[in-house]
Amino acid sequence: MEDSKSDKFSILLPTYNEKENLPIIVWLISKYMDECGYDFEIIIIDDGSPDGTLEVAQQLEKIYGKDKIVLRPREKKLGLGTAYVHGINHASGNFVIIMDADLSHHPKFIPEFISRGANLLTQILLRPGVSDLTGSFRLYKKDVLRKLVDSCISKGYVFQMEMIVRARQHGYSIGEVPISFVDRVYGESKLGGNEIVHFASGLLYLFATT
Amino acid sequence: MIKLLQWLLGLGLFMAAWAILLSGRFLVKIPEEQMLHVWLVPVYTLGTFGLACLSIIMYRVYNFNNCEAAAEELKMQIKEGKEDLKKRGFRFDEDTLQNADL
Repeated sequence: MEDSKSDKFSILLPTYNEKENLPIIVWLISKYMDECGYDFEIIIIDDGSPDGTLEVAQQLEKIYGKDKIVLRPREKKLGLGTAYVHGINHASGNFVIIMDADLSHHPKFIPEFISRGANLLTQILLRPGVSDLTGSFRLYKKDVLRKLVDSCISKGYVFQMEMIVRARQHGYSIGEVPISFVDRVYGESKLGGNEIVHFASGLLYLFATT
Repeated sequence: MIKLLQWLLGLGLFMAAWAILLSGRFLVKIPEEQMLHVWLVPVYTLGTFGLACLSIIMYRVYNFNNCEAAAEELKMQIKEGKEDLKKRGFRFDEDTLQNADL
């Protein structure tokens, strides 16, 4: 990615009840991407939020324009993996960034992800693995993301882990960027107690099959 | 090779080494008084592993750092963003009459 200026970055934001966080994260993404001169679009995939997140997204679409804010809502919660697939199908960029919409992933790190990916020669290939397997603030090449999502079958946190495992199986290079993670200010986390059981069984599945 | 097979192979090698020590036939001959310890090798291994895990976890919990500066910066940017968006025509819930918390 030596010439980042001819690349376009599609930022996927799956949302559920994020009406307070959404305007801020869109504002921050726009600020940092414009400052660095990167071409981008933000694809908001709202799964039928009852709190009016979609109306907020529509206001943002008016302010920033339809080419910058792409709304692709769904009727109800259908899961993160399918949200990514839905997002990719409407993405016009050649790179895709996935991140949380609750401000725990700060958009100021996006330019760092982009410049790290820019120098493949110095990219670190990790062994035995990445330092954070469940983090979901990532930059992918679009066709790689599509291929990986298609080859994953787990859900939840395990899905993020499986993506990395499959990426390494396919021989893709993985680099890391340190970030700061600030606990969310607005709204509620969607993480529940049964996630632990899913995580454990998912981990065993990966252990026995990869 | 999948992870499960790697671990089974490792376990197999460990069991083989342990069996050699127990049988006292090849390579090493352990005196009778020390044989109890040979039987307890798996227990010692698990115990050491457990202690190592506990130490690593305690160390990491102790050293887990807060990022106060990042939290402050985020709070300020939330304010800044809200003001800028209001100027550009965005209506936040606090501004509309519909949001009466009575």
